[in-house]
Amino acid sequence: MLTHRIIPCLDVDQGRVVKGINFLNISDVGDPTDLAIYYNNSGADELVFLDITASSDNRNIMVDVVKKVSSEVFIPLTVGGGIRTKKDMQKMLEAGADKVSINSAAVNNPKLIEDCAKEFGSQCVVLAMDVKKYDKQWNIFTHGGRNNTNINALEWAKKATELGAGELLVTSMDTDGKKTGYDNNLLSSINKLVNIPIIASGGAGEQKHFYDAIVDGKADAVLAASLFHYKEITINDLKKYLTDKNIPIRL
Amino acid sequence: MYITIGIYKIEKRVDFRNLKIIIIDTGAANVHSVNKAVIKAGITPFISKNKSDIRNSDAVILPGVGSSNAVMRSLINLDLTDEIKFFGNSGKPLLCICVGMQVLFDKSDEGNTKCLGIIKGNVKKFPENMVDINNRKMKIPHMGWNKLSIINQKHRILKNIPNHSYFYFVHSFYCEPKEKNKIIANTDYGIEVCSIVSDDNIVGTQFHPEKSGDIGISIYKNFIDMVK
Repeated sequence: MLTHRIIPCLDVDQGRVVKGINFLNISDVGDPTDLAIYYNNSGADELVFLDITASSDNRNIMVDVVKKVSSEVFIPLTVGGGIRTKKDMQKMLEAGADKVSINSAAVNNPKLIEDCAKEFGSQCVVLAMDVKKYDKQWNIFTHGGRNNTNINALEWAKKATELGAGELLVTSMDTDGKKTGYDNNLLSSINKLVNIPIIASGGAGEQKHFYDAIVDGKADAVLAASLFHYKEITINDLKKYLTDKNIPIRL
Repeated sequence: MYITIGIYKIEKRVDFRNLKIIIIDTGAANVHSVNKAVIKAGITPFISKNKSDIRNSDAVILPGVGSSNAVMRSLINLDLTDEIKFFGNSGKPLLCICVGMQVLFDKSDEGNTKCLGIIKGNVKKFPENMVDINNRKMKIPHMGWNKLSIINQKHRILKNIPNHSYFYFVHSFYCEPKEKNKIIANTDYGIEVCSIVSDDNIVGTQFHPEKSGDIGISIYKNFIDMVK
């Protein structure tokens, strides 16, 4: 039976992993490759690297990061952040990424999803959606939640799937950082409309939240960042917990 | 490996450092990952789309992601279909991954594509609206870690690989070999999916060993050992 995936997300700024990594017991806490090895050894099913480098001049640094990580760690690697064009996506795939996530660029130009899916296959096109409740509906936000696009998130999920997205990375801006659990209503509502895998993101604070996202939110995969980085929950413990509760997990 | 000198047939010792493994460059996105994984398994391979490279190699890997029609089109454009069939008949190890495995068969429903016809059978699309015993939607693509039910544990590609090991899958179409004795392992995704097929020296894996962690690297090590 297909297992549910547990995915740590790492923020990379100018080639170094930043935010909340000080507690991990590895020699160079900012090195993406060391961290990838650490998470691979702790049972991560997949890795997401998010490039948060502000200056576009330094974007090529991320290509080198992906090259190094994918030479050492042999689990699926998703790369996102600042992907604007088909060419950007190609660079990441050639460097060794398996999937590339697009967000604002797809909102501005939905055809990008279709173009990338046709060129590289749907399986490597991940649509990242930042969603926030606004006036009783879920809207798509860009620019880290500052910009309300007024696009209905459910309609966008459906449309992106039709255009060829192979997976949805759904972050709830309402629950993100609050540690009160994922937005399972949002997740299950999207799940009813699409037939591609959904990664839940934003809001995990304890082990039960992962269980709820899988059972109530119908998420195929669950993503978290600081919770894992600060070792508040280790992936190994989480996997044992979910297995005991009869969730199919790779141990 | 044996060589014949005069009337004597003697065992040739294989020097692994000089082993020539070719990864066929179909333009598929996973060529680079496969390359890195084979290096991790101990041999530096060559990436090539050249006929004579394939003919003069000790082992060949055919990677593939995307679609069967794209991979077949690429092989036809590179004029490699006969060369791969010839290599398959040579007795030397041939490893075909994901869509690479699918194009080994007669025909794929994906784009109604005529494939290499090296292994008898067809490639079909997963049925829509499948659910598992927990009423979970079986989505398309089948994406993530799933386990093997090994049928033939003695196959050399499975040395040191325990039954029920997990591997990473990404695919929307699945292979149905006509001759069931060619199935080395199956995987459950609502329906039974052939996850490893083999005909003698030819091996196909539906999963991506290059994305399946340490156990995936073991598949490449076993493949390298098949050259002996």
